[in-house]
Amino acid sequence: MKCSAALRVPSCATGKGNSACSSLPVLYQMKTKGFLWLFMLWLGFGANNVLGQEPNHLHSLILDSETGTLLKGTHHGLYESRDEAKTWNKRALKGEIPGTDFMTMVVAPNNPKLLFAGGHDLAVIKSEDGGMTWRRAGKGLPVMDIHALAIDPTKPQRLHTWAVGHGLYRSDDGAKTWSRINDGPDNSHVTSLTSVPIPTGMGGIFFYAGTAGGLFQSPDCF
Amino acid sequence: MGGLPTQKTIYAFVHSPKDSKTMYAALREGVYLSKDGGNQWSLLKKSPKGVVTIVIHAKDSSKIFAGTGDGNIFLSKDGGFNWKLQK
Repeated sequence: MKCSAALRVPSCATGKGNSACSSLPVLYQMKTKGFLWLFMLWLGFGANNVLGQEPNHLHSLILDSETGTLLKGTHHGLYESRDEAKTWNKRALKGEIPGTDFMTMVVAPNNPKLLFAGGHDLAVIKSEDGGMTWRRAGKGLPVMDIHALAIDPTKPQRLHTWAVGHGLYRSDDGAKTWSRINDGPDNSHVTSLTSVPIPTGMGGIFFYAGTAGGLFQSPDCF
Repeated sequence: MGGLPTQKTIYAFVHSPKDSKTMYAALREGVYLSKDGGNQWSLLKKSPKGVVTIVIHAKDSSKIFAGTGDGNIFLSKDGGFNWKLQK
């Protein structure tokens, strides 16, 4: 696979379920019906957070196979479900968390409590207690804006991440330090990265990138 | 990668924890399945549209959750052939 690409910053929100977008129709009423407008604005823009309900969008899902707990990553933090996604509660997070935007999450294949997450304002963070407590894990990354993470099922200390505008980065020490690998796939609007334990025949496994221009495959032998 | 549209956005891509050659790719029109490591793909006709994230149960790979961009979560208990909205 050719690994050069012109980088550009991708948009993230689908818009349809974005709470800010859903508030726009009430703008007209603001001028004539003050109280009604304020109430509707609260419903559309802030009620989700005030009431602790989940916002109408999501970016990432992970599952604790031991407990069945689902974690949902959104622009406004993490939500958990213990009943197969029927009901959700916002999780109160602890630790060093630079932002709230959980774009991507992965679970260590050998430890369901070891999680990594990235997002627009998160860089990469790490949790060792199933997502309750987090700490920074992004030394060496050039930006806070992370759109994809992959963990190697055969070498759990190896992760790859997509640093928006800067390319593909790899860690071989469990996300403590990161080094730039290359520009990534030909289409730089990367939506997902996945390490798949299918041998390449050259000592590595295959690495996949989902992009705005299709699926790219590369032998993980950078 | 026969059967998987090119030049379209792949919103999510996962492989089965039990069988690495079983793969799922989410496009706007639905979820595609490959059973041969990505050589051939077919659209799962009953899959939800607009999926942006997929997770497969590590111990029961027939159980798959898919989340859509507008916040809905769907569950399949048969490897992606049938889906149920969870809320």
